[in-house]
Amino acid sequence: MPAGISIREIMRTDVISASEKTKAWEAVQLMYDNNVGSVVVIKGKKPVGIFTGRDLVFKALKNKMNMDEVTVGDVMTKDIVSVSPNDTVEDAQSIFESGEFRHLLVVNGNSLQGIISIKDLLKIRERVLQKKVDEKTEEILKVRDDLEKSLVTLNREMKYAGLFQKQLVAKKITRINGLKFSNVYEQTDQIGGDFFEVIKIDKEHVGIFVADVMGHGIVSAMIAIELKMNFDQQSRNSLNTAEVIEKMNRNLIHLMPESYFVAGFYGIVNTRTGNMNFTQFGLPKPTLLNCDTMRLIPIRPGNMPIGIREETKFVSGNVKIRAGYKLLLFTDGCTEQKNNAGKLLSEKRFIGWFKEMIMKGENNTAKKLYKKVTDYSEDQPINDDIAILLCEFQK
Amino acid sequence: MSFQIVERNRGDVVILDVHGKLDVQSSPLLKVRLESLVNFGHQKIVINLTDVDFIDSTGAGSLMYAQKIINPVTGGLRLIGLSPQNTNVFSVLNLTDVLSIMKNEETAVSSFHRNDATMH
Repeated sequence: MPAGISIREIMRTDVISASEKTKAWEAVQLMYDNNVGSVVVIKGKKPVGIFTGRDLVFKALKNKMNMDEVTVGDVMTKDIVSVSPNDTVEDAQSIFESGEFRHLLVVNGNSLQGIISIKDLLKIRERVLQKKVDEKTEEILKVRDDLEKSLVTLNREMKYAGLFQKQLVAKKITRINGLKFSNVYEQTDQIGGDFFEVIKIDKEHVGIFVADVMGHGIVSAMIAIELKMNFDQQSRNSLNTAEVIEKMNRNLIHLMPESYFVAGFYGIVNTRTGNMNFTQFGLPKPTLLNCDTMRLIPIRPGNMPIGIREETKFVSGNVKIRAGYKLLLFTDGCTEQKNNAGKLLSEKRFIGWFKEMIMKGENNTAKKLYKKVTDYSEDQPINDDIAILLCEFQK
Repeated sequence: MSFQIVERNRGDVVILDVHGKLDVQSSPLLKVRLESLVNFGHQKIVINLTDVDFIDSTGAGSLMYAQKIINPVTGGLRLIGLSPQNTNVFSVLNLTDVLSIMKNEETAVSSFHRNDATMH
């Protein structure tokens, strides 16, 4: 109950009153006609008692008094408890809480000003509580509106950030120096942690870089952007992939939050000699397929991801690329997907699909592989970003 | 199986029996538990993955996180109960050299005590 509400504000002034000589049954009729639970007994203007239905029951009937003769003065409660119009509802409430009274007279000096009942007080309490509920509801609705507005802004900014990142991270790549590329880049959130890039380093050398920042969302996306900036800088300075990755590891390890790491692959193809120097660091091993023999060419060695240890020595490998080879790079979002039965897609199944498509001479392999992944997942949500990059070494 | 972590103690070694899938959804729970242990001064932690049927790269990240926040001088992280499929996740990521994967609980717990003896 809020402080400060005075009795004057809530008291009823249309007090039903009677004199001490009024017959009890007439007073009951009066109560019935006026729909009230009590009659104030007055002498002049001064209240001298209060008569209620309980008085009639507990005093007149119990004592077998003659109902035709009983007056309100015979059975009224003389012990009047009153409050002043200037008292507060808390004062009245504490009197009611004693449990002895249901009505309180409001008296100023000796003059009757009004009456309040326990019901009046409950109604006030209800009204006050309702007012509080209304105020809180209004506050909650305002907070909800503010949150909705913030969410709309955040979603819009995330969407723009996603578009920006997509442009930055996964530009449309088609052909460079006799190498044909196709790709798919899908994020689970509006912004993601997968990243790939194909760059022409000089007349002969083409760099192919794919990376997967563990997790997805804002932090992963920011790491991916930092990664790209670092890659752009380092890839210009060396044709040794291990050296580039080692420098990136040293630059990034202090910027990355604990528990984040970057898995990936960086290959530099000499398009004149066909040699590919590569460093693989934690990503599912790339698939290099000789499409004439349908044999897989091993990609070794592997290294630990970027962001684990500052002093990591990365080791690169070399492989001779021939016309008709296809290099498939993909992030673990492709292989860690599960179907409704909870069965893992697996690297074996994913590479199997790839070989099958090549044997059938199908086009748009990267896109079809992505569709296979989404079909496989059935009703299960795709929980990780997916990047697929296919490089075809043309005849 | 819903994700669950049950904590046991063997002397000053804390053993976490992990149940369920260690993936993008559950990894934050493991990280919070590990942070809390380290904040309370526990440095010798064994994670039992016998009842973990799936670990994805984020799950592997949470274990790498544990590796990073535990002081290797005063303690360390040991992994036990890795199935061949779960071991493969670490192999693919080339993390097997970084993490201390041990045969069983006894070996993992006694490895800490061997280190203590070396320190004295």
